[in-house]
Amino acid sequence: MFSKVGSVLVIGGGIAGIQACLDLADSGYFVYLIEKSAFIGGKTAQLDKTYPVNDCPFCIRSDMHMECISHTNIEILTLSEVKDIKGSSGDFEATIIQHPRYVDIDKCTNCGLCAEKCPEEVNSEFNEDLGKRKAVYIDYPEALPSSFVIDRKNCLHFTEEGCNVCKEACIEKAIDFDQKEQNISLNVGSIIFAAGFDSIIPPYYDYDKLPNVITSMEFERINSLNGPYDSHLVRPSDKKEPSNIAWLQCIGSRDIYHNYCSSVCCMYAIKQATLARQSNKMLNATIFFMDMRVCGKDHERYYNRAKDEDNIRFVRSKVHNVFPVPGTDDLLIRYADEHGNIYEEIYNMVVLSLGLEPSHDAVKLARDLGISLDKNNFVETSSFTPVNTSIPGIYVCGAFNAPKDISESIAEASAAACASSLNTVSKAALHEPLEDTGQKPVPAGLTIGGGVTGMVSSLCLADQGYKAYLVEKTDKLGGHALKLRKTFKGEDVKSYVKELIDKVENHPLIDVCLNSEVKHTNGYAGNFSTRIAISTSAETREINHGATIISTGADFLRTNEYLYGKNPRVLNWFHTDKILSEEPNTIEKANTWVFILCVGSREPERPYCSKICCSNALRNALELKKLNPDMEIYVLYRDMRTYGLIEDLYTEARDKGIIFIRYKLDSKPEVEQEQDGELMVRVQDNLLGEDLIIQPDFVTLQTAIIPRNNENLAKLFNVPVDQDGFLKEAHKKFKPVEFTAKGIYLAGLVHYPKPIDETISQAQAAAAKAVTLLSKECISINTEAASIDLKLCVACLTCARICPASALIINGMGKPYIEPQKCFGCGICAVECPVKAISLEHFKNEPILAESKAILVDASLMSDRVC
Amino acid sequence: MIVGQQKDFEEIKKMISSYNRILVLGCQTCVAVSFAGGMREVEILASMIRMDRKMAGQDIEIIEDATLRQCDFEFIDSVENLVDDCDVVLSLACGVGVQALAERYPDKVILPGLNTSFMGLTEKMGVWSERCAGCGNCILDKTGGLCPIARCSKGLLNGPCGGSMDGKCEISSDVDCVWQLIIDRLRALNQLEKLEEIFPIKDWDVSGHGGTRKIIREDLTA
Repeated sequence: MFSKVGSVLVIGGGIAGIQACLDLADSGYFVYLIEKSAFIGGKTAQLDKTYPVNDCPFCIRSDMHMECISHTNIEILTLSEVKDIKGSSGDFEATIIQHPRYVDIDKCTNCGLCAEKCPEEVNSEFNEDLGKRKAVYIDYPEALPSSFVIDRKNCLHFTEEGCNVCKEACIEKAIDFDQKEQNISLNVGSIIFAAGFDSIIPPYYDYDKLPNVITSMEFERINSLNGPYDSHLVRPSDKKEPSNIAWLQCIGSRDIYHNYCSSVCCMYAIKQATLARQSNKMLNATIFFMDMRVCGKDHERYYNRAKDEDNIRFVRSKVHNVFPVPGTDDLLIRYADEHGNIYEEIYNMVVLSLGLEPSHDAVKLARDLGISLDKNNFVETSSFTPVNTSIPGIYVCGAFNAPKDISESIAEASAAACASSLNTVSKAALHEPLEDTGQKPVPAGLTIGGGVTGMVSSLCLADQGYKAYLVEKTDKLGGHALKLRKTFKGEDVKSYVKELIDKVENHPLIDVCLNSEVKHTNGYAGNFSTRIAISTSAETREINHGATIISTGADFLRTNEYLYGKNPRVLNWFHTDKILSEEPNTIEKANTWVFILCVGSREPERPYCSKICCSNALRNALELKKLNPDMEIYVLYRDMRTYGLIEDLYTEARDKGIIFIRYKLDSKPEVEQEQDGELMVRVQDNLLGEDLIIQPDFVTLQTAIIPRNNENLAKLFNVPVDQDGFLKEAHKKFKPVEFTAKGIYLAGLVHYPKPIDETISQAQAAAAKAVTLLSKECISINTEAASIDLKLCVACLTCARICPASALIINGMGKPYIEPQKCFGCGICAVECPVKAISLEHFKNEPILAESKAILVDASLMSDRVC
Repeated sequence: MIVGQQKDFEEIKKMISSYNRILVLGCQTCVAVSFAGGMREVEILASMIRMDRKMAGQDIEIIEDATLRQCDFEFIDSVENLVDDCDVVLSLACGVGVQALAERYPDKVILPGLNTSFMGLTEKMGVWSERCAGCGNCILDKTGGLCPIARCSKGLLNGPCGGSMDGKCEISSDVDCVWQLIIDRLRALNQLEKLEEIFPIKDWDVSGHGGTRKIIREDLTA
């Protein structure tokens, strides 16, 4: 047995790598972050805004970057590559090559004099070659590490020998041409691949010949505040504002070279079109797509808004050609609509929504290391261990695992942090210095909901040495997964769940409370006290814990459409699963089977996608076809949302002769029962424009996943519920498993419908977050907390009434008191206090008023000058 | 507590139009709690006046302050310097406070910035409702702790009128019929028999109908 080594190597300094580093470092592990380029941040740093919130991610992102750079437990190696890794789980030896920066990071003050003087101008990679930079450069002024870098390939000192302009210009003497390449050897316990993706421009559409055919990333840069055209939305050829733009979807995805969906392009195209129309209200924005795959939380609503309110035009067609319009810089698009009619339209600019390919360098390294990759070169993982590679001790997260968006990458990064820490022993013990409250967090986590999510979270906590209480309402663990047969990859869910239950029930640190419900909870991050009522007895139990994870899951819709509940052969998804595992005769005898998708999902009263129905239906349809190849199977769908690697199922289903018929919300299929009791399905076929009549033996309805009654739960834990009834996380993009209130986390279907692999990675992520809190030496003092001047307070109770965190209580003296651990510094009490007795440490009235008065004075001086 | 409501800004503007040096003086007690006249409201109103004058191109100087209780001479004495220093005082206290100032500073013009609305309570953040009419002769013992004088539109004493519909008052479906509430509550308390006692004609003398009210406690007036 090797002795474990107390650090982790994270490869890739993008958003996923940074998140993994932060979680590990916050839990007390030492982390090396290897980044190929000169700056951390990765592709996310190039993005303008993020869907579905459209807020500028810069603030949150730069906070994360700053935290990563300044964390005592993180060492960042930029301009570095992993050359080789030897050893095994718990004891890896990694050889790193660090290329010279030629600028001393410690001396450089980011003043920019060097770049100002540098005579050599080249294309800026950060701006996707649309703008220029010098040979000594920084990607953008706030980029971290905050130091310029010299690009040896273009620097005249190296290419023509002798140029020392920047060196002479630098006041701090930070330029050092003598820096040499370094070989660094690192001994680590585990490794996380967070290598991200590359985008490859396909050879068609004449991208290289037509300047106004641009990639989606180029569009991000053009529309960015710090972009190459000063955030003016203009086209590259003549810098004129386009009056119409076309987005072409599935470029480098869902084609003969890439049999997968890149998952993110539909949403980012909608985002880009929406933002483009914000900067130019007269702009005509058209998105050409095959299926609109907007499956994530709030994505459908974002799509509906774009379509119905922002007047973005959506055309269901795969565009096969883009032609130049002679004599202009415009582009002609020829496309066929669903009925086969050919149209031609002229656009000023065309954006190619590029897909995601696994990072090419990482693929090479992974191959060298013997990590199993799938046929598309994404890392092969099981749905049950979504961040484990084929080599023990090496983990993966983000887009190198499968195409995915930022929020899923962040959840996976936390999950990878959780998984990798189990291979790494001793903590580095370089904890952040904290003000000592003298109070250690209670080393226990409480997880509510004993489905797969809750069990995985509890196991992660217990495996890291914390007591895990698992509260389950029913008399057994397992939840919905007990009724599931297979994942979309075909793995057997039943045996996985059985094994998981065994592990949980036999773990010495896990205390399973069945037939139990939470009745009351109070306290603050690090020290909660929760009362559990046990339904089988009159007893209650008081549990003391440092962190809480909510994983109470969701329910499925009992619809009253399509004769559900009226005809026994109209089935729900789990009836179908049951027939598949128990009734081979029924399947053998059935001639025709119909699946109806989007039952109750994507309706006006439930405007979200349930995410798992398409893959579940296709998996079951394929199994039926396998058991009875003569069976005719029809899938009635609205958009086929086999996102990511699930696309494989769709391709296979079409190959196997399963028939797909698209229906629209305003002409839904009809299911009728004929006089002889036979079922009849009537559906309008878009291609023929006529009604099709199918007489199936069975109809399977893929009914919506609906939230449980989360209002009570939300009230109990003082966490918010979103407009669909799921729990609302702290930030849709960057904090998917956290709440604004500290010490409480969420995972699984209580957050939003999702398949089992995403559920498991969220469960691990929530546990990782809980560990960053539980591992603290002491509960930190909240310096953001508001404070009350009791001399001014008139005890009007306003603050206690409005505090969203319930941090304000009225003490025995009739005066309010703020519990600092609960207060998250939102400032609402300070704003509302009628006698102005409350203030926030960093937002005192006096300096802010002084500042605004100064601004007003400036403004009035300026206006005087103008007048 | 006394619940107040700030006057319409146009009305306030008109009142102060001829003054250029104003003391906006709040009160940190009842009207602060009802978000009409505390320090926060003083600052907001002062800013509004400043902006308004600035837009009209006129100068104004505003002093902002609030007394702990404007209805006590001891507290308003503490702002004597500020009062002396201005042309006019715009008081954000209740009518009692305004009059206390006027009495204490006989040479100064004192203007009311509020309408003193009623005696009531905060139902929830931003919602206040009347509970007591100060009738001088409390009967809450007989009506289950709910006051028909303050809360029945007609001030009836012997049960609801014919306009009580589905628990609501005939003046508006938003107003509860307090007699319905009284009956419901007494039934729940098992005290319905209390309603069998007929109220005689009420003596309104002590409610102010017999002239301005005053209380003198010999034992306290040394």
